[in-house]
Amino acid sequence: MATITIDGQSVEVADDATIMKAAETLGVYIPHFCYHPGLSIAGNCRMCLVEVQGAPKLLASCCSPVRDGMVVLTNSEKVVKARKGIMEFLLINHPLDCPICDQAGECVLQDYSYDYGSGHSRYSEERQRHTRENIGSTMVRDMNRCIACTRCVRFFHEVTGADEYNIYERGGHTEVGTYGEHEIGTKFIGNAAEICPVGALTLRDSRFKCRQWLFEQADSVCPYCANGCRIVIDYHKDVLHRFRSRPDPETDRWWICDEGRFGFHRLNDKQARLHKPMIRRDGVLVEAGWDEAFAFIADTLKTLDDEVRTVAVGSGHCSNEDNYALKRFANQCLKTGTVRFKSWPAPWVTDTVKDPADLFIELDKSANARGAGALGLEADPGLATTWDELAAGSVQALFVMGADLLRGAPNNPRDPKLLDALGLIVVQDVFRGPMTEVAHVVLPALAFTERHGTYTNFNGTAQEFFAGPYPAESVALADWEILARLGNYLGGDFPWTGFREVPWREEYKDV
Amino acid sequence: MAEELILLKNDGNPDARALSFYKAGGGYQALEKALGMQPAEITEEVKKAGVRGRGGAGFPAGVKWTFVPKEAPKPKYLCCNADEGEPGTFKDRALMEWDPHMLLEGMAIACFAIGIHTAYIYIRGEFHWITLILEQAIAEAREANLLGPDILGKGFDLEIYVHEGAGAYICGEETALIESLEGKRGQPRLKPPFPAVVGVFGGPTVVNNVETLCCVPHIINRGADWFTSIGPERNAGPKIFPVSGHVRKPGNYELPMGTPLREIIYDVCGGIPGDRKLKAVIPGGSSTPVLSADEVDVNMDFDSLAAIGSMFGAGSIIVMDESTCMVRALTVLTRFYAHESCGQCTPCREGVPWMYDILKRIMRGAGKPEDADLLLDICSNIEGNTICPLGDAAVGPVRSFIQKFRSEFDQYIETGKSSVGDAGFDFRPAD
Repeated sequence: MATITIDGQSVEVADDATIMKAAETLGVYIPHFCYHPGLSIAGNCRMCLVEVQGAPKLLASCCSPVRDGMVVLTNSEKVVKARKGIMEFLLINHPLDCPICDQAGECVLQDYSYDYGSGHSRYSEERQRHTRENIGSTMVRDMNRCIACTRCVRFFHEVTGADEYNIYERGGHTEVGTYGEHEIGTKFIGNAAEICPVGALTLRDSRFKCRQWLFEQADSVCPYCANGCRIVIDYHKDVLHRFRSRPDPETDRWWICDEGRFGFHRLNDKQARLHKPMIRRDGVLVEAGWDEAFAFIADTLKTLDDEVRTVAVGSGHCSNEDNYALKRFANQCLKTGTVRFKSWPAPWVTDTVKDPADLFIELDKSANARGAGALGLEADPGLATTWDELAAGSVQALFVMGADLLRGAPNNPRDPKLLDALGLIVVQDVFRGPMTEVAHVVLPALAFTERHGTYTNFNGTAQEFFAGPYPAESVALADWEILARLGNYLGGDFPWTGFREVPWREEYKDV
Repeated sequence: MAEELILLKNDGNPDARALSFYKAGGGYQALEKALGMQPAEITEEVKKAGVRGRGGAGFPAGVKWTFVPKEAPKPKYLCCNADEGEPGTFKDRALMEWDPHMLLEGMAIACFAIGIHTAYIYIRGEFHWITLILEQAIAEAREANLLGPDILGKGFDLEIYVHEGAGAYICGEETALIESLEGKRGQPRLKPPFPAVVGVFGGPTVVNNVETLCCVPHIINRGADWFTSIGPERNAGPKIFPVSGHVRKPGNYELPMGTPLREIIYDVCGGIPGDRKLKAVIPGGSSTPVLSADEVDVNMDFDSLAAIGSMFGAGSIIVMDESTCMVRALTVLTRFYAHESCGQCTPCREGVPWMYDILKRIMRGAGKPEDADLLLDICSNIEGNTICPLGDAAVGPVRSFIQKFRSEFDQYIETGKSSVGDAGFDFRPAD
């Protein structure tokens, strides 16, 4: 251990710590561009220079190891002069186009120019001009704004191994990118734009859509595979604008895949969403109120034989609260013990070995399959058993939450006609789809971005996610809340008013 | 003593390249002697001789060798820095071109002393013909069991490889050299770790200049005391001074360290053509701060030049007489550094081309009164704030030219033209 003094405060840190790390433990912020905790140290921006007593020169705090007894000044006159110099150097060729730059508002170059920039420019030469270039199909590079911190280059080399992204030219002509706008061979491209400290790398899908300072944030968990990456939702009004990574203290990881990052677009598609409960009358689905839909379900259940067998299908895409609520609902209101979910891999899936380049993308595309299993839902790979039972005629009613029975084996499409014989099909879902076409009653559920809940990822970590925007012109509810209201309507016991009151942990047996 | 040439004795003699010629002059006797010594003894002798790095930094070579850990999990390497690219410097090429075996022998002794079995000569790509000479010499030496496995039957193995650079001045910086040698982009590394701990392919590495290594066989043959008897204390040894610019006889001169600069210009090199007046001298290669005419009564060694605020560098003397436009000279030098900045760190990447742009504007007659002070302030924002010494190298001439010839700059800015009737500056289209 080494004891060092930073701006008059003493701290004891490991011998191999850097000055930057030591300052972090003291809560002393040292401005920086190129340093990123998830990447190797480049030490190239020189913004983090600090004065060390006895050292002839200023030292870059990101790459200078501490020494016992070291005395560091992070805000001395010399340091401030150097920072002002660095800011001037970075800005002489910068276009200063903040008014049309998507990074504005979350740009460290912009922030630091308030602290260390000058009100006027001493630069009267021609500025360097580069043409704007596409980096593959998802990212745009504006080299004029680039400060050559190489965060993107280090990310691609060190995290994804995509060497085709690189530095070209040298000196004042330095450029980053792929040669000739080539696509980058990785599923993690968006991270480069996320860690770009300036507006040099932006994502095509979010360029010029919304100013950053209008965004509201919600902490969430990506539901697009079993890995459960922690994400932040950026939204404005009821429109989702961005998913970005939320650094994970457990795994010390900052990266999410592009499928997850761009996964918000489908949620913004109002046409595809279910907004109101619907009841099938004379073969056509017509909108109804919640009570109307609940009454229809209650009436239909009464007409069914007491011996009728109902299968409730939950989902690995639904939260622990939802699946727990479904189980209780089935027990109390449906007189059936069969509560299943579609598990992975389905019998016809043969390729179950993960490509190492996929890093943290899991092959199981459901966010909460492990949670569903832990809650005691019966795993039904590909729902094959359910279909066998339908074919055998041993099922008379279906209650389906967030599961698609009709999309199944690729070469063995299910026969929807088998569903015609059923006395009741209730479908509770976020999106319109093949299941809503066969449903007798449709109950609209909120997407994961619009509600709170808990997912258990593939390695058993239960993570809470929180609501972003509530969709306008919608009456949808969280799955567990629909079940609670319907359950209470049918005489069950569902006394919950918030997601944390759903006592799913009582029946949760994770192995 | 000064009459006997040690390093340049075969300068210009093509026959001297042959192994037979080198051996006839006592070549490889030092290697044979060294292989009979304890490695630590050799290092001690070189340390005692106090030979300071001839590449420009002037760090004692023997001390550098001792920084290499004795037991390392990875192989150790020696890199001979033959990327001689500093404007005004042309001494290493002469050594390699006319006496390649002297370098190989020096390398072999150094490797034996440090316990290295693989060595590289990183040579400037433009010296391709010298690469061929070195490769020929290596083949000859290998044939004669002076390199390769079990050298002279003493159980010591050494392979030497020549690696050509691809035309970047920055690769003369030792860590950029190592990056380039590894096949990567030639950019300096962050230090620490220093190459002596983590160098080529992650192994401990010693990087020595050609001339430094060429001194080693002579130190082994004649002893450290002989070496220190040449030149002043702490700055000992024979030294090649490449002299260029306004002298009657430019070229490489081998002289003892500490030879007075005035003597080199007026006696050794025959003075200035047309007996024009001396105006300025760059004493150690283009990055070292310029001396004005009244500062040339200085001894050419590390400590004497440091004492007057300049640097010995590689001892490369550039002489400028009264016909020189200092603004133009500085513009030419700064163009070099702007072009050769690797672009890795901010101050050098942005600051040096900016200085060049300002100088170009002054040359075009569009200078502004505040330009000279602006240049000095840019210098202060670059100096000491960069990853490698290239930033400081670019600052060296700019600051010293302006400080020592301020009136000439002010006059150029005011009138828009040179006070010495300079013909102007031909800008390349790329500029």
